[in-house]
This record gives sequence, structure tokens and C-alpha cells, in this order.
Amino acid sequence: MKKEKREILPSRRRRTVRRVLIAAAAVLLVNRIFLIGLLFPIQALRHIEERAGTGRTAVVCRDWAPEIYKTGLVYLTENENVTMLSAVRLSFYGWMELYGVPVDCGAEGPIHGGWWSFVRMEKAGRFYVFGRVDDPEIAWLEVYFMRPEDPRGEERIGRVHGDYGIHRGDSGWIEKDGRLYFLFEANLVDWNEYPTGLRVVAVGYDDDRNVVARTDLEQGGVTAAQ
Amino acid sequence: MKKKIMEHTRLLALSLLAGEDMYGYQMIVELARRSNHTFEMKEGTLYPVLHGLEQQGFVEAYRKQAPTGRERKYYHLTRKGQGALREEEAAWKRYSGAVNDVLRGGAEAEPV
Amino acid sequence: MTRQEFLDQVLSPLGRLTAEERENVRRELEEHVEDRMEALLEMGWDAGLAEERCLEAMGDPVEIGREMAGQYRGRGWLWIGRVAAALTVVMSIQALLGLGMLGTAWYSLEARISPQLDTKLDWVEAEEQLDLRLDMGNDVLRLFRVSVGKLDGRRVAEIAMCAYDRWPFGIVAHGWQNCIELRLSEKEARFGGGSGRGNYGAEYCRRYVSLEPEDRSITLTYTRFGETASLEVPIPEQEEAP
Repeated sequence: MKKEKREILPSRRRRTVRRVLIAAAAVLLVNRIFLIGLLFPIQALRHIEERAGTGRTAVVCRDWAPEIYKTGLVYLTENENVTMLSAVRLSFYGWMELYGVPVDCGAEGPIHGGWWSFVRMEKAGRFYVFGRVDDPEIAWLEVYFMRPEDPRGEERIGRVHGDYGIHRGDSGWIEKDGRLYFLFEANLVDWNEYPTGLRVVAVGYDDDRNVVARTDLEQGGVTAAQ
Repeated sequence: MKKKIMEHTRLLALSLLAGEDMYGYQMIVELARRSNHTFEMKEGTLYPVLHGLEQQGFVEAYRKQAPTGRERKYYHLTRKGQGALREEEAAWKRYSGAVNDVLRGGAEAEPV
Repeated sequence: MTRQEFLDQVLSPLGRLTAEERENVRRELEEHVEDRMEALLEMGWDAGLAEERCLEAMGDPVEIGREMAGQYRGRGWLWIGRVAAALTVVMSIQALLGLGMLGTAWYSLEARISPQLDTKLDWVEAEEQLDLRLDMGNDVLRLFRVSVGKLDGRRVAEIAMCAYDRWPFGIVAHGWQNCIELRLSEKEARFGGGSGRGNYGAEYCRRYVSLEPEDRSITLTYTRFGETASLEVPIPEQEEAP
């Protein structure tokens, strides 16, 4: 029986299904092999996770940071062992990873944290202090700067917020799954005023203003963009 | 009223294609022949019906050379279309059965 | 009414159809008229009257056009298809712009199949190809060669290793090189790190350990983000000359 090969005229639905399948294949190919063309910011976040080696993390909060880039987004994410601050933005190559600062929460002490400063064209920018607090006694968190040659931190040469820092009832503290995270944003620090190797220290106070813990915040770094 | 005619035409078109693939003009001719010229609709109105069935996936179309020697757009009933035909046939039987019942003065009466 | 006028009237409400779809409709109707004409001419009708009769038999062109337009409306298939086509174009441009990223894919595959890293030793006394692996998060650390020889006058062992994501084309973590510790029996290794190469697909590095003649194996330990694992790397002996 001779089988005729006939070319069916495609209906709208058939044409559309074909186009959608091709588009899906193209997106998958470019995303997986070329690692660009990401359509969603969370995908760029996954890239940052992979690069930092932290494993899957969950989003604690997200912030829009137009001073960094018009489409810049900053994420605070966490998992069992890590608290991380990341930034992504939308470019011609799709959503792209900017920077990620992972903080290993396995270290000693109830306060784990880092800091990150983003400078854009020496003008506007953002300075973030972030981390996790494991001790329920800590009611206030203060962050200040110290010279590298001043080991006991007797001279505070700048601070992120007022005396004793921020109370856990104020904004900037976020509770998630029974753990307490913080993300403070300060007015941009002019790094030219401070010596290199500056230490950033966080101190936790309880309700009676007694010091409960103190730790150096891991350096995230200063990123300068064009 | 127009809608009902359209629906009838759909049923007729589907049923014509159940036998073999046909093109528009062929269907008009066949329709007139089978119904002994009772159905002689405005010929152009068949085409919106066919295109509707095509877009909905009940028929597929392809171009082929007709017995006349010229190339024509043939329609083919898809499996989905076969299902639709069965449904519409059943609906028509119910409808026409009900009309007949009314004309005859009610469904068969129960034996007294 | 002429045939052309008839067809134009049918096509006029079909503005929402693509040009191809409109042409299909026009062609199909024209072919129908052709067939009907032929039938009438065969019966002996006059050409002009035949055309008139055909067009009359077709019905009201405006109505046909309207009904036809109705069949193509709805559900937005056309727009979804267009968006999908646009997305495909965007992705193709991305692929062209990002051709350099294929280097990542290449590294990822190469490290998996046949890792390459030349030695930096001044002189190699013994060498052994290995395939020791350990899990680092969702990446794989693979030790693929250990060499014994001289570097800057010292007798050292060089371990060549690479890391890549568990999945092909995945992204490998960065900075694992600083999370590796090497020990010789009880002592911690006394010689440090070395150079390497890498990108998102795979990262290579060389590590050196100062050797005493009695050392038989090196223990490599990885610790990061609450995860830890170890491997024993045997130190190859120089083959005895026959």
C-alpha cells in the first residue's frame, strides 16, 4: 500500500505549539550550556550559590537597589550552614550575577555576619551589614569600625547606627524558620576616609545593655562599578 | 437561526469527511447528491465552517491534485474530529427523536 | 459584481489574519468558483452569465467574510506564537554574543573525561595517574595525578587535582582550593599551594607537599560550610631500574 507523504497545512494552534517548543528548547540550551540568557533573577542567584559552593539556599528577603544598577536586586539567603548576601542585575545577557558574600555559620559564637560595600562611580552606592544571630538573649546589635592596629577596639572610628545599634524590634531584623537574621543598610561610607584593613565589628547587647557577644564581620568587600 | 444552520453544516461536513478526504467544491456537490438536492446551501458559507473545524483540530488540511487535474485543498477528519462527529450525531438523534415524538403526539404510551 | 470584487469583499473583514492565512482563503474560494464555472461552461452556459450565477450561488461575500473572521478569533494563539518566536530570536542572539561561554562547557566536559594539567616540577622522579574522587557540596573533587620530584631544590610531591559540578555543564564552586588541608601521617604538610587554571566549568590546581624518604601517603581533607571529607593519596615510588 503506497503511503502518500502529504504536508499538512498547520493551523494556528499547531504553529503556536511548534514555536513554543522551539522557544523552550532554545531557552534551555542557552541557559544550560552557555549559562546566559537567564529570564528570572532567581536563576542568577542560583549561579551565585553554585559559585560560592553553599548549596541550595532559601531567600530571607529581597531588596531593590537602584543606586547600584537600575535593575539591581539584593538578596539575603540562608541554609543550615550559610547566610549569604548576593546581588544580581538585568543586562543584555539576561539576569546576571554581580556578587555573593557567603558567611559560614558553623563558626563559634552566636553572631555570624559579613559586610559589603558597593560603590558606583564614586557617588551613590550601598553599604550592607548582614548576618545571623543565634542567641535569643541578644536584643541590640551594634556595628562599628576599628583600625587594624587597635586590637581591643578602644577607639571607634565610625559606626553604622546610633548607640547600641539596632533593636531587634526595629526594621532590618527578619525572622525565618525560627532563626533571626539581620540586614542593615547604612549611608555609604566614604572609604577614602578610612585606612585600609579596616575592621568591622559587631557587638550584641542584651536588654540590660550588657555585652553578650562580639565578633569581627567577615569582609565581603568593596565592589566598584563603572 | 443562523447559528443552528452553522451547527447543522458542521455535522454535515464532518460526516461527509468520515467517508473520504474531500475538498470544498466536492463536498458541496456530494451534499446535494446525497440529500437529493434538499440541501443546497449558499456554497461560500461552507468555507468558514471548514476553517473553524480546522482551527479547532477536528480536521486537517493539505493540498493535493484532484481528479480534475488541478490542485485543491483537501480536508481530512482527525481522530478528534471522529469523536466530535459521534457526539454531534448522537445529539442530533436525540434532538430529531424528540421532534418526532412531539409530532406523533408523545412517546409510546404505556400499555393500559 | 466581478470575481475580484467578490473576493475583496470576503477578505475585507479579515484584517486580523496573517497575510498567508488571507491568501489561503482567497485561493480556496477562487478555486471553488473555478470549479463551478467549469461545470456550468460544460453544460453550455455563456461565460458572463456563468460567472454571475457562480458568484450568486456562493452567497453574500460580506457574511462569508464575517463568519470566516470569527473562526480565527480567540484564545490568543497567534500572540503566544509570536512571543515564542521573539524569545527564540533573543536566545539565538544571546548564544551568538556568548560564544565565549562555550569554554565553560568545554572545561566541564574535559575535566570529567580527561583532565589535563602539566607539572611544574623541575624534575620528575616518579609519577602515577590516579582517579580519586570526593564530594564537595554538589561538585566533585578529582585527584588525577601525583608526581614526586624536585621543585626549587626541595623534594616534593605534587598532587594535580580538578573540581567540576556533579552535572555536566554545571557551575563549579570557587575558592575550594583554600579549604583543602594536606597532612603527612601526623604532621601537617609543610609546603603550600600552587597554580592552576579554571572557569565556571572546572577548576584545576596543583598542591605541593615536602617529602621525607619514609613518607608513604598523603591525607587530603576538605572542610567547608559544615561539610568535611578525606582521601588518602599514595606516594608513588621510583621504579627500580632493571
